[in-house]
Formats: sequence, C-alpha cells, structure tokens
Amino acid sequence: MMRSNRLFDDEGNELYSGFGTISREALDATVDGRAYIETPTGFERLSRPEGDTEDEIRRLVDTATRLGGYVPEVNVSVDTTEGEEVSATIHFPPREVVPQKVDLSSVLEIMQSIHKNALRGQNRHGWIDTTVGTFERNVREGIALAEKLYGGRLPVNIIPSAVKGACEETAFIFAGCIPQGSIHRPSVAVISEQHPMEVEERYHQHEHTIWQEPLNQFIRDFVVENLDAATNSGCLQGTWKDIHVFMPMPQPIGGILSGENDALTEFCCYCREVAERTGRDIKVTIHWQDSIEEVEQ
Amino acid sequence: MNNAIVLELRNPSDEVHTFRFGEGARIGRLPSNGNIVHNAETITFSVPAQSSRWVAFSSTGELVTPHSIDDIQATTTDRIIADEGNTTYVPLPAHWVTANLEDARDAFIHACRSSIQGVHENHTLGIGGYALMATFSRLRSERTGQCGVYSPNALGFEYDNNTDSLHNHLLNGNLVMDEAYGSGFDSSDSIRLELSNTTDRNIRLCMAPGTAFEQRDRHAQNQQNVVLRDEVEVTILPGESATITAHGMCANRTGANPDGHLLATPFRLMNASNFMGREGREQSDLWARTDTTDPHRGRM
Repeated sequence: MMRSNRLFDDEGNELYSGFGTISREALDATVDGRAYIETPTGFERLSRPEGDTEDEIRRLVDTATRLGGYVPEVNVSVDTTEGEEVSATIHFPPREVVPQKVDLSSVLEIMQSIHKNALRGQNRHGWIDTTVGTFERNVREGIALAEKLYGGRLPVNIIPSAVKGACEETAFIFAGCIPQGSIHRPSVAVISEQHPMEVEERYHQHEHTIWQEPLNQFIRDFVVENLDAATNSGCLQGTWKDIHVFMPMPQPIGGILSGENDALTEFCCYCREVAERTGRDIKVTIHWQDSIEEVEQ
Repeated sequence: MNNAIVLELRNPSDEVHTFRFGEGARIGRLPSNGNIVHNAETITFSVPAQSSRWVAFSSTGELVTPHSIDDIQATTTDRIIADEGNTTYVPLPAHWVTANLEDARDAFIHACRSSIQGVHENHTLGIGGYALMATFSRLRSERTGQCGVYSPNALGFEYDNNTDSLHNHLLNGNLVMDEAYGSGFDSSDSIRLELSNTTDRNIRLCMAPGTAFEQRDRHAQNQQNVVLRDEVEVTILPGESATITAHGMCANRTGANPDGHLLATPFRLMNASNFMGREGREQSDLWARTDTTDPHRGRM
C-alpha cells in the first residue's frame, strides 16, 4: 500500500499535503499531538512524544520517516526541574525525479548531422569553406537544439565545453571547434585595481580575430589541442566507454602523416592503454567528413 | 575607501557575447592584498563582437562601473505593455538595423506604435513617448544586432505612475504645456517648460530625476533626447502660469545638441540618481548607461 504523508487536524482538515516544505503550523500540531494521519481504518493521531528520552527520540525518528523525511540531528537539553527535553530537526529531501531516458543512439545521429551540417560548404579542392565562427556557431546551436529536444543537458561529456558536470560514459569530441582554453574564446581577466571614483569603463576593439577566418587555417592546431584536452580528462580515466571523435576533414589516404592525424593516433593509443589498465572496454569511433571508422582497442 | 577590482571582458568572437556573473561567484583576487572578491548579485554584461570591455567591482562585490542598457537581458514577446515591468522585446527583421537611417527611423516608430500598448501619445497636449522608445530600441538593435522593439524596462526606463508627474498632469488636463524647449545639455537651464494651471486648485508638480523628454519635430530626430538630472518640485496656483528651467542631460551620446521643441513622455530613467551620482562625471556616466562607450555605436 502506498504510504501517505498527509497530515490532518482533528476535524479532518489537511495540514500538510505530504510534499514539499512542511508549515510551521503543521509541525507544531505534530509536536503538540494535534496531527492525524489517514490509515485504512480511519484517522490515527500521531502520538505525542512522551516517556523517556530514548523513546522520544525513537518516536521523533519514526514521525520523520512516516512523513518522508529524515533526522540529521537530535537535540537533547536538560532542564533541572522538567527533566530532559528532546527536539529534532527533520529534513525533507526533494522528491526524486526519475530522469528521462535518453536514447544515446539517436543523440549520436543528431550529433552526426550537426557535424555534417557544420562542415557543409566545401570548395572544389575539397577544402572546407566555412569560417571558424560559422563552424563554432553551427556546432553550438546544434548541441543546444539536441538538449532542447531531450529536455535538458545530455548525459554525455562534450569537448570542448565550459560545462564542468559529472563524468559520463559517452564522450563527443568536436575536434574542429576552438579549444576551451584558447585565447580565441571569450574570457575574463583581472587587469588591475583602482579607486572606485577613478574607474572609467572602457571599450576597445580587437583589430583582428580569427572568427571570420577560414576554418582550414586552424584545423591542425584545434584538433591537436582538443585531443590533448580529451587525453588529459579525468573522465577518460574514470568513466568513458564510448568515445566519438568528430574530425573536420575527410579520412586521410593511408600513409599520409600530418599533425592532426598523429594526434588522433596518439589519442587512440592512449585510450587503449587506459582500457588495458582499468579493464574497462573503451570504444573509439571516428566520424570523418566522408566516413565512419571504428578503432580497434 | 577600498580599491575596486578591474576586469577585462574579452570577446574575440564575431557576435555579441554575454558574460554572466552569478550571485556569490568569485570575481577575482585584488592584486594588492590577494583578497578574493565575490559578486554581490547576479549580473550580466553584453560585449560587442571583437571587442573588450573593462568593468569594475568594489571589494565587496558591487558593480562600480555603469551597467549599460545593452546588458539588460530581454526575452522575446509579441506585444509590450508600457507600464508592465518586464524586460522583453518584439523581434524585428534583422536587416532593419542596416537600412537607410530615415527608413529605419520610420520603421521603428511604426513598429513601436503597433507593438507597445499603453502610451497615450497626444502632441496637442505635449505628450509623446513612442519616439523615445523607437530611438532607444533602434540604437540598442544597431549596437547589439538583436533587432527589435524593446520594452521600457529593457531600455532602462520605467513608466512613471506618479499622480504628480508632468505626464499625468498633462494627460488629465490639470496643466497645459504652452512650451517645452531643449537647448544644449548638462546645464542648469537646458530644459525650459512653460506651464499653465487651468484648474481652480493648486497643482503640485513633481518631476523625478530621469524624467524623459523626446524631440517633437521630425527634422530634429537626429538630436538627443533629454532626461532630467535633479528632482523638480513646484506648486502652480490656480489660473497661474509658470516657467520652469531645469538641468537636462543628454540621453544619446551620438545625437546632435538639443535645440528644439520637446514632448513630455510617461517614461523615467530608472535609478537615474545612482547613474548620475559621481560629481563631475554625471554626463559620461549617463552615456555609459544609455549609449555605452563601445565602438559599435548606433546612428542618430
């Protein structure tokens, strides 16, 4: 039978609905023995704490449990004429919210299409034509849309990201985005200190930033830094099992070496090491612009 | 007084970036003594594309530099009620901010008239309001790229419901405005009002700091709107007329010097006394609130 946390007065009027913060009036009624609970046989008075100290504590804990709360502390004060007085703090934890089940395979499909969309616009030489800013915005807005579709933050870790949440089992690495610690991202720095009456608000315009430059020029640095960040992530050591690396370029033809491919190879090797050391299966999937590659671990 | 900590908010991106400091968030460490400064209340700053902005907080975490109206976060809506305290905006087509200036002015006036309810404009009575909202909405749109008609609160103004306000007396016919003229700014006589009490009782007029006036004539739309620096309180006897001169401040840095007829508006710049509280810097601090000092200025 479902337990009811509702409290009533002696006329059957509801004092406490059973959810959320309990009112002072309802607590006083409970302590004074004026509160009732509903049972299959009718209303039953919540017994007023009386008897010796131990019994009183037990009854208070019992009351708290019945109401869905818990007792983190019990205060016992001694009055030389009246004996011991017992009071307790009852905490009511927030109701457990059952998280919405997120289908990670459909999230992955969305991420693939976000990445593909962000890379659209290729010139006749096969080079990506998009700018750093456009690529960044497309990925960011795509992730925001995915979060909106799934009703909140996705149960995945994303690199690069400013979010410092819990480590999840799935990681998405958008290797073509501006790395998190880069000077090319908005940032805050302490400049100086001044007397408040002398402070002037100032603006100045940057002469040149990379956001309107072609992404092609920065891909190598971005990929290397983002994969470095993933390598150094504590989540790789702790939880990641399913890692998806989105590379902003076509799969290279075998034998061609470049900085970004070296970095990817090193990252995959490191994942293998972590898998061996921890005994955890780690799957790495690389989403190239033109194909998908699963790396053997 | 303890020193303030000065921060640089750097935005190298190609879009406006909003920096948010939550209440109690760590702002930084004072270089001189290493004390950590925590933010006193949640605050946001808007920094234009490819720009940096310096802001300062006191050692107790209160903002020292002016908070620009562009920093006020606004949510979208489909209509605005003038006296509701919401920070909202009705989105408009983005290309309006780059349109020919005359076209943009007309478009924003038209959009304000259709989007904002509760402004009782009557030029015969000397009451305006839409031109002020249109100019401020257009300027904010041009500076931030977020094009729309903004609610008074989102522009740093509030609807003045005071029964003794100029707007209220004009609207109720207690006072007749024979003349309202703006000439120059940041001087003790830059606003001149000639008012008549047409009733048979004393009329107490109380104009709060920040009370806003707009330019009446179309050819003067490039001129600054004007706000009152100090409170004005007078009583006009039955049947009498009074000429009031007041200290007017320029509300739009990029506008031309005021030299024309004004209309009273129902709007008042919020916390005007605070924004103009540093002696000798009243005008520059006011501009930092209403117009910002950034390189991305709107067109007047």
